Amino acid sequence: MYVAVKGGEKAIDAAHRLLGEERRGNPEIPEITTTQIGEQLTLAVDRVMTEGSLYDRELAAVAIKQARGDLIEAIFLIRASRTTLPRYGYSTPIETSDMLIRRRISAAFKDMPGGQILGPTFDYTHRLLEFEASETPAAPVETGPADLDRTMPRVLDLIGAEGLIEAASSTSGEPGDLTREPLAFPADRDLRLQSLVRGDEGFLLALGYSTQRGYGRSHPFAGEIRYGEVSVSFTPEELGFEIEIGAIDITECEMINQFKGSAGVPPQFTRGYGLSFGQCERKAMSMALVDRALRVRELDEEQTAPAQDEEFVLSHADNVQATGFVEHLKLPHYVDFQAELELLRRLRREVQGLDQEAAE
Amino acid sequence: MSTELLSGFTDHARSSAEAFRVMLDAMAQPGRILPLTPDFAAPAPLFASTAAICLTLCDYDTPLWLDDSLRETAVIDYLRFHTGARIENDRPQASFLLCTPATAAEALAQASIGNAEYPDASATLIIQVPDFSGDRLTLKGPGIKDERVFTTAGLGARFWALMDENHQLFPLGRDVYFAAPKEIAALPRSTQIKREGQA
Amino acid sequence: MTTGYNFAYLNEQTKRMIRRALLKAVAIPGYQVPFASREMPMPYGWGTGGVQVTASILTPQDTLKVIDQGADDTTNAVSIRKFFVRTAGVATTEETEKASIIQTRHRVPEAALREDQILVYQVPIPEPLRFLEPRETETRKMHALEEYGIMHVKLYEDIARHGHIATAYAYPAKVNGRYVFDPSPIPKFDNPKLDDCAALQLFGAGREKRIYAVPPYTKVRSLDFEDHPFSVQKWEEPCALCGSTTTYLDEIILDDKGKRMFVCSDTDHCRKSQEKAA
Repeated sequence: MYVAVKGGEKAIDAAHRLLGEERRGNPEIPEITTTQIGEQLTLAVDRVMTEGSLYDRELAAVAIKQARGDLIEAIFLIRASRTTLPRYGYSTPIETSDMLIRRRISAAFKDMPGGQILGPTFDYTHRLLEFEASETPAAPVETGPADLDRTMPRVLDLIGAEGLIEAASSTSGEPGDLTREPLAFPADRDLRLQSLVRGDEGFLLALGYSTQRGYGRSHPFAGEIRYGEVSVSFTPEELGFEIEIGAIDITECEMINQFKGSAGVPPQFTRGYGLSFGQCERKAMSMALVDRALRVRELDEEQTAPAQDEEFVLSHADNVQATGFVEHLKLPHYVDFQAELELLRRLRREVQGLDQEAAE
Repeated sequence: MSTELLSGFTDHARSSAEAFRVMLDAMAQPGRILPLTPDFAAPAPLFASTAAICLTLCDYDTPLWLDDSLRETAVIDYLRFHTGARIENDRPQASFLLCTPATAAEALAQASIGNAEYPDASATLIIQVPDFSGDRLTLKGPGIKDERVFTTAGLGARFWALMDENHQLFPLGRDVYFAAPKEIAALPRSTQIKREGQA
Repeated sequence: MTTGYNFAYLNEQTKRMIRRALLKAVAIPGYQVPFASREMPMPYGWGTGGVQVTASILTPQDTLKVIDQGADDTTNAVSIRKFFVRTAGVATTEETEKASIIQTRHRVPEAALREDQILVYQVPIPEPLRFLEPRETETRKMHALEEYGIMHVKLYEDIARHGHIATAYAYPAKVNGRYVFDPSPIPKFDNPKLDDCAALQLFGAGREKRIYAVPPYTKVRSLDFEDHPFSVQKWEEPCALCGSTTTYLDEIILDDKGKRMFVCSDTDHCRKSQEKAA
């Protein structure tokens, strides 16, 4: 006699216990602490904060540990937590030209006021596995001249005066918020940028790369990439004046793109903009490329490539949504599968019936 | 200024959930009169039932328009405090319009109907009526098995003619809640309304 | 019951937004109302839309039933039921008749529903035209203009090629003579139950951020052609457990030699029928 499968609840509880065991690994090896993650896996923390849309290093570290290092799972944990937080209001815009610089480079100029500051970067490391690295205490780093002026003007502001580059667009009115209002198309740049900054690094990297290979080519130059600390201010309704509430690390990338001009717009350099929490440089650069690609409508360009297709890009950039829908295929679908089986059997019976008729 | 602000729902999450279910049932079964008796008193001339609808649905995303008879300082202070909604002076801009039988036709005529791509971008009227007696109407449409007879007080021929036009606009149009002191009913745009005596 | 979270998990501001969307959905049957869907503590695809709808309509007096594939004990149904027990402290049941709210994925219960019940569907892709036209800007225009030609063309091409409409689930229907809608991935066997149903039916698509509704006693007409009328699945054998010949059956593979059996997908209905027969 057939007995229907039962015990969903027990199975779930057992699965959660096993998950806990796997997460802990061999109990003889010391357990990793969230402080260690926060201090030593900083780029993972930065990515989780950026795509999780929440600046909180400690929570991001907790999420990474809980997710066994699966960053998309960690991002999901952060998003689910973020959505329950009360909202007190919006900060005033951060001023990135007042950034306390840790790294700042421009590929478009040999030198500029403030200079090129290499800062902490993998760029010129030789990718040779350093087997002893974990055991050798690092020697103190030469931090350079102590009197270095750590705030410096943005490169694109320096060349903007000549009129060769479009002005940074400043739309009047409050920027939208896609976590509060569902995204509608066509979407303006404020919402596109918000969507991109929350978007999956890998997806944006591939799209940005595709523009370089001719799918929506935009002739980019890395005008400036800067990483450092900016202060965040807020104006409480009851005070009526701005107060500084803290500081965050961010990476900003401004791409300069060649533009031949169109019917409505004269030839000039145009901009693509990327921003991330922490030091997500690859993300900020990819975002800047995709931002520029998505500006086809306002610049009167022809839309030919996937990276220029705003519905395509914005509808598929969010990795929490994407992973949910891809992975939901694991859930039972046997009712619909049965419906398809029934249909297919019927169609095949009819085809065979026809073949037989033909043969007779 | 009013001396003391009256309170809203005592246990907001649970009580507003109960109020909402009544409102949802009312909208899903047009013309059905359902009790809505929240556990608080509203400042006159606002009914507690009307206040319950506002406290359940309105916030800073939904501009609220009130007719002159309801524009009492105590009412405005109360609604502002408990909902955070902006009090709107321009009828077409409002998400919710609070009115009385005397002002209902004009409010209905001017309230937003949404647009073809977003028919949900439309307004909801909340009309305070003394009770549910008077005009007899026969209703048909979604939410109604065959037909339903609905009676309500004092809205007059022009209002019902406009309600008929409103239904003709479907899927555009406004939706209406009627609030008596202890009961509510709803007529969404999808309901076809026939007045007694009409062909 | 877990404290620290609001009743039914969602905060009040979110509930107000969803409640407004629900009322519009009821007022405009079959029209997909956009709403600012929130990230939920379960993944997109696991029923976040249905969960948000249920959380917004739930009262402490409700009795909740959750089914997936027609069954109460499928893992995700268990998990969602547990979520509401923890966050709202509501009573739950596996019996269709005893439930005031039923959240479902992929099935409509076999027992006829009543006026005092609400059926909440979990929806993956709410747009019936999406697989014919991927662009939201285009499909929105088609709905606005009531321009459903491409859907009829698609169904007709099926008939030309296969002799049948080759859609077995998520079968499109027209609501109240106006909007073509996706009844969610229920087998087309269930479509007739939506028509003139006494219960309010609410549909939530979390990832796609849409809510829609079919009020009680509303016309839901599955699309078809005069010479190819809509029809539902039939099985050649009855349910092996209760003997029913009128319900939707799951196929169970018993061995690797092609042995199989068919049993009711609606486990509560099947159990009731067995009890009655005993």
